[in-house]
Amino acid sequence: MINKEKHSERQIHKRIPGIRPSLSRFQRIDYFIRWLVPMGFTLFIILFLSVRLNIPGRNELLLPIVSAFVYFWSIYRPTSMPAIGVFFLGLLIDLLNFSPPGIAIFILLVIYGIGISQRFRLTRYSFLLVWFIFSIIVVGVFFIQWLLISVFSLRMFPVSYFIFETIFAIGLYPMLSIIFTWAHRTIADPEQV
Amino acid sequence: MIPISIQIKQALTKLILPLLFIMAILIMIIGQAKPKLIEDVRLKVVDFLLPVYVIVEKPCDMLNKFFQNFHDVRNIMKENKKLKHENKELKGWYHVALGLAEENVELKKQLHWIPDSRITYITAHIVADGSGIYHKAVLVVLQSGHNVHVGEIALSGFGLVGRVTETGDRSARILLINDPVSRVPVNLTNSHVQAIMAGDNTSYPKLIFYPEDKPPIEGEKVLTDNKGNAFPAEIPIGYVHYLDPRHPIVVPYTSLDRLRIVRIFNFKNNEINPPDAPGRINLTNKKTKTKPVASPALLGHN
Repeated sequence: MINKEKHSERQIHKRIPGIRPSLSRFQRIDYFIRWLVPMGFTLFIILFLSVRLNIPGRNELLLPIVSAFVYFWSIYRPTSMPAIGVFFLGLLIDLLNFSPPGIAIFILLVIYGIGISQRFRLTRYSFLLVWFIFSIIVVGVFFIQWLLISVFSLRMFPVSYFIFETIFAIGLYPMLSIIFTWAHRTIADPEQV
Repeated sequence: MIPISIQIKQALTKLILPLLFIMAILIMIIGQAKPKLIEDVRLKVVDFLLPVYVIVEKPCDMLNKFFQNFHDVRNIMKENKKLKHENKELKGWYHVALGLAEENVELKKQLHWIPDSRITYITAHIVADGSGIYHKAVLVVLQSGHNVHVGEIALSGFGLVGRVTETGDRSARILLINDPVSRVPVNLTNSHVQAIMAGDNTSYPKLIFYPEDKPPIEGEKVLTDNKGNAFPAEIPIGYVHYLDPRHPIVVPYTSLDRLRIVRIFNFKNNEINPPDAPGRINLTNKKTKTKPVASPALLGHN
């Protein structure tokens, strides 16, 4: 009972603007960690997937997962996913994967740009529509990747890689977005401090 | 903090994304124009991240071993029977080998055999996967001050797996034989033909450029060839297999997806440099030709 009351109190607290006591040191650390969750988790995924483990489709998984991260957080909490951060995530992917540099940065920035510029429209849409828009973006973006890599290495790579990546991205997005939505409300919400 | 007006601040936040786009395109251009620079940065990053990789890899390795143990325990009876049988056979071979070794020493003694110089190698642990969706490579951890150079070859316990393409302070990158840019000259043992083994991003590199009238035979051994001095000859790679009648592939003896440890061999040290003017004997009593062969004076049409 008391818990419930406290929770509702907090909810009200969150919505009403007003003067509140400034945060203590621990609260500030808590705030910072919550703010860091999306970026930190993306970083972890990038590092984890570059370790040589027997994960099937490991190479194909990395960019789809990271693009889902960037898309979701740039729409729902852009403060936790700043543009410079996205840039460095892309740079890290490029450096760790020994692919022609700049391509992953470019892809992630395109996704980020679309997410951030359309966020007010996208947040009002239903999940299915957001997913559908993500699918379209992903098709375009991974096609650009395939094209650029083919141009830079002066040979046509099989289209199957592009198709694989796209399918992974589209298929993984609902699952990831469940986790993201949960995190968005709980562990990654700086307002909960 | 520099005092900036709100308008400028807003303008700056709007400018940051286009700026980053331009940076991304610049990085792409630099990567094409100065690949060496990017490689250096890459290896610096990898060197920096090596401890992290090692930390992440350890528990996963343990987990892997645990499951392997579990699997082994389940099949212990079957395995034991098989091993006993195999051991009996191997004991026979052991005596044969001893005899042959003795005989070999004896024969070499009689022939004044010049022994091959010893090949040095180091063994390295694979910590990270340097491959992306469009290429295949692995990263190995080395000690600083190592003596590994670009172009040295990497073997697993059973055969060739790749070549060193970049070396850092504490790491090296090995391009695997199934990378799309990998081309290895090979020799086929049964049909005695030469071919090129070309990686195509799958686990099984394909065979190309073999003679039309002598296609590779299913199951025959594939060895390296020293054409172009890229590889020493006679290193086993795998065996030939046909996925469909027109496309022979090479099945490597070690699965390239599950590599954990590789040996990096330094074959370059004892590369044989042929003497000048190969195959020609300088005869002192023969007139040295200084003029072109087709000159009328030489042909007797004065």
